[in-house]
Amino acid sequence: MTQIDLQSFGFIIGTIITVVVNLENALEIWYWTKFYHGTLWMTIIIYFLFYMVAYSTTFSKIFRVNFDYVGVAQSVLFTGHFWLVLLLICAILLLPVYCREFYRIRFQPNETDKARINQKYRHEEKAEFITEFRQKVQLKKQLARSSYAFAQEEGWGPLITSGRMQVRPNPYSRTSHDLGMLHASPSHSDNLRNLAETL
Amino acid sequence: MPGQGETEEDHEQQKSKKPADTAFKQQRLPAWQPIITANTALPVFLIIGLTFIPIGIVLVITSERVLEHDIDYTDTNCMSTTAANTTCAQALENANYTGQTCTCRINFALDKSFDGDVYFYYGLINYYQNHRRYVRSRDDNQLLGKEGAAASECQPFQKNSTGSGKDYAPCGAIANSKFNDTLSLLYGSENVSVTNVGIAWSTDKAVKFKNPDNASNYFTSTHDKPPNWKVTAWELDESTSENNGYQNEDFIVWMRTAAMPTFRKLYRKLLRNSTFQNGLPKGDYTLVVTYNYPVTSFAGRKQFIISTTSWMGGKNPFLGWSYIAVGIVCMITFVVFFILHKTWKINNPFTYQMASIQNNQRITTT
Repeated sequence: MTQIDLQSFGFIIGTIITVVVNLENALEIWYWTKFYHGTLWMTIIIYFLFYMVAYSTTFSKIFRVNFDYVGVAQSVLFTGHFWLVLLLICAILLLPVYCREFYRIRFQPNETDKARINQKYRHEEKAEFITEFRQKVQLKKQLARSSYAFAQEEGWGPLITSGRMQVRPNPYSRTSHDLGMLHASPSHSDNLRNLAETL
Repeated sequence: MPGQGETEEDHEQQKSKKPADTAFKQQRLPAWQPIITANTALPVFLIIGLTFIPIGIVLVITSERVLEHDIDYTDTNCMSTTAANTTCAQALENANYTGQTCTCRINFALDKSFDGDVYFYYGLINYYQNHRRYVRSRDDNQLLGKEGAAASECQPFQKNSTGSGKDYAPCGAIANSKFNDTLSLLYGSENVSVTNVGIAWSTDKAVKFKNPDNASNYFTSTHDKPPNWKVTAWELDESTSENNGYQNEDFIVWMRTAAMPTFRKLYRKLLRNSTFQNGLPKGDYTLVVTYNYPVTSFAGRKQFIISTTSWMGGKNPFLGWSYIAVGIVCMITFVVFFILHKTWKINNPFTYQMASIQNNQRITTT
């Protein structure tokens, strides 16, 4: 047997909808700028303030209007029961979305998720990897230089033209700030071969 | 020469089209970029589980402490004191609902004393006060005591078209269907002292209902009482003038339309003096009913409810159990995800850039 009246019931449903919808939107947002923070929290706050003013008795007296909803905000918002119900329904409606997102990102990440996690979290691993890699690239560069130098001397021609000292083109490399890697240009080895053939 | 001048102007115009180099226009605003990872999500589940279960337990305990006693007096419980072997419902039906009244007495016992403030309600089942046309059938301006004809929203309870042609005061279907049973309690032979003020919303009483000037003339001569009422509005409580007419609190409580077809409305409050200082003592009671309100024609039922309250309102265990259920589901989710997180190794899902470079390394050094 409930004691609640029709207008309070409608107001409760409306309030819960506003809060839940805003929070579900918040779960979808990736970039929380200050504009988004402002929009989100001000929507909810202004909703409550607006209805507290609109349904107050002073408003009704000033504008001399008499409508069903006068006093509803006061009777609903100042009971602990309503806030407990709001908290429970937010939890019931938002947790499944949260679970779904967590499951997807942790166990079935798509490329976008992997890129986001990469960008945000893997700084230390990437730094170590880069220093290790850079040493190997530097070693390779020394080798390439020395094989070119040998080409100027007698007897190194066959070694050069055999292709064993070639620096292969790297199809996966890209210039990025992280790696600071230089291209190994395919045209460099072609030049070598042409030069050796002309000798 | 003219060609060069044009290109310079074009060049300047083209330069000025570029948006300003502020953080807002170049989309460099500082932003928080949250990603749901295991380190953030698992504690969330744990915390929600650990807070909801105690809240639920507190709510269930609070609700269990609320004492309630219902008496359904629609038909078989309420036997007429005047006609032999008929229920009051039957007696009203036999008289074809022409305004007959019927009294009955119901004996019951409270096996626990109801300490603290005790409230008396009347409950109605299968009564749709939330029907849309019914809810609209009222005139709020008339209820403020303003001059003017009753609104057309009140049709067909706007004016007495078959009789005198005067407006009904109050008009509308909600007012016409006002609950008019009288329920009183006897403790042994003593009347239980109750009060009928302080039961309506304070905002309603302050702002929404006001008696017109010259009220007795208004209610008796210039306006008619609604067809289903036995008395005019000016006779609702003749002992207290602030509780009479439109400002009668029983009337105000009835005009607040209920949201559900099973509802209860506050009827009286216990006045705590002499024997009832601490509430209702346990013992034998008698409910005296003046049965005026017919509900059997639409399979409705009437109840008289005695209840104490808590900070949360009346007896409501459902909220507590919901909290406990959600808390338990959260804890189970936490355990399941924790186990999955530790055991399910995906094939290096995050080495997107690094895997390709590592593959590269293997090709070029062999």
